Amino acid sequence: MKNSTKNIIIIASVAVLLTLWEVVALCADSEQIMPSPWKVLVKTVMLFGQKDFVFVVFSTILRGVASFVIALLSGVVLGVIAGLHDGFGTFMKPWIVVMRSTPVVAFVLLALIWFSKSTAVFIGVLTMFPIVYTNIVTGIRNVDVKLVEMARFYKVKRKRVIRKVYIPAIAPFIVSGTSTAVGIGWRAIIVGEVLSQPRYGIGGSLQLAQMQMNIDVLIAWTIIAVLLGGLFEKIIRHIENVTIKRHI
Amino acid sequence: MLQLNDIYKSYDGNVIYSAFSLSVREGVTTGLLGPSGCGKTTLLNMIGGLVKPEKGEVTGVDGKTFSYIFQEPRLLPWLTVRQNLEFVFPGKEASEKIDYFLRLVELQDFADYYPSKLSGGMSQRVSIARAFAMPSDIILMDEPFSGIDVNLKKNIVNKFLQICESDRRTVIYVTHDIDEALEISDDIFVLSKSPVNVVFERQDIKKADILSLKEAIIGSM
Repeated sequence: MKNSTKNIIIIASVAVLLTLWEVVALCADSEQIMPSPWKVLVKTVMLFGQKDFVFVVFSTILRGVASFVIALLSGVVLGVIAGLHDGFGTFMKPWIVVMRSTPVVAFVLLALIWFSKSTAVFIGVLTMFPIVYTNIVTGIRNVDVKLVEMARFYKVKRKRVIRKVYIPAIAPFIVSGTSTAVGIGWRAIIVGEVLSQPRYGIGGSLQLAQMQMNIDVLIAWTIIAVLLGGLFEKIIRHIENVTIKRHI
Repeated sequence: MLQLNDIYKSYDGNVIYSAFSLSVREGVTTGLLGPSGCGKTTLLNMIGGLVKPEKGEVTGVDGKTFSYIFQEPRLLPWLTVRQNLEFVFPGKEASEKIDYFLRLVELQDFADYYPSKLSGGMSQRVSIARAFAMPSDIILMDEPFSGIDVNLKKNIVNKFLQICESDRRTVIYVTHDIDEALEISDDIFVLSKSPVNVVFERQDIKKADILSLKEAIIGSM
């Protein structure tokens, strides 16, 4: 399909969504239940002008970056060890299953008792770590053993083999793991903020708007969260494209 | 002289080599001819130190360096042709050698290409250039010309002979193709199925009458 055709379909899809929203708003006839898209748009623009807007957004981004860095580093290190040593992989398996199958909200409730204000970071790490880890393990297990054998036969130095064989082979797995992790982790961090109520944060602002029945503000913050989440995924996808193109 | 003395090797209870011995001359191309699946690759791997024999020893390889031309080219897909050669043979002095061998296999214009842009035959020529660019004492080859189109194979075999002529090294080569073995080798050993035994051997076959030699080899198999 041509890009121009795709763009037309996307614009049409968004137009239908906005029309449906407008219809629901008209039927509800109450801004306390469903404000019109136009009102929400105005509110969103107004949020940008608020004096603590930058603090709110950057606090959430900071929590996102902190949990992403922790999840990425621990996921890569432990994933590499598990990928190279079956025993460690088996040891890690129950931990990963617990992390993947426990509902996020259960972790949030526990974290509220343990960490209070750092809950969102903890939740972000717990959500992103197993995704990064699993991708790294899969990546390592997919490294072509024949290439490793060739390198071993030619007595290529271990450091060089890691740099030229292992890293390029697992790079696409790292990037695809991180792009999935960022998408899921970003949402989990905001859930964590909603419940832990830090001084600044998108989740906290969502919770405040809900308590004050400011539905337009609640939807406006949601739109900002969606836009930021989309932006992060786009950045990661861009890195993914550059890395994969360079290596294939 | 490179020697395998009283080698014993088994896989999953199947004895492949039992009291197997073989002597290979240095500076010549030795063809090890045998049926598919008889354990020729294992033999090469034992010579190269990738596989250890359960009993017996391989002598004459201490301190020697190896190159290996595998059945498939085994090139790193994310490195260019030149980078693939530099991967096994880094350093400043490598550059000239790499250029020289890429010219020999007629791939000098493809040095910056990635393997995905090369044909199977071209990739195998890169693998040959890699083995020869590496200043190794012994080159091991595991059916390097099988699975290549007949016309292309002729071209690659000619290139290989040309390189061998200009750069004499100990080449040990396994194949199941009699004609190819006769064309490439200086010395030839015919191996039987497991447990592997030498059923025929001849040195300096390039001086021999090829037709009668071929008949003798077929008769021994």
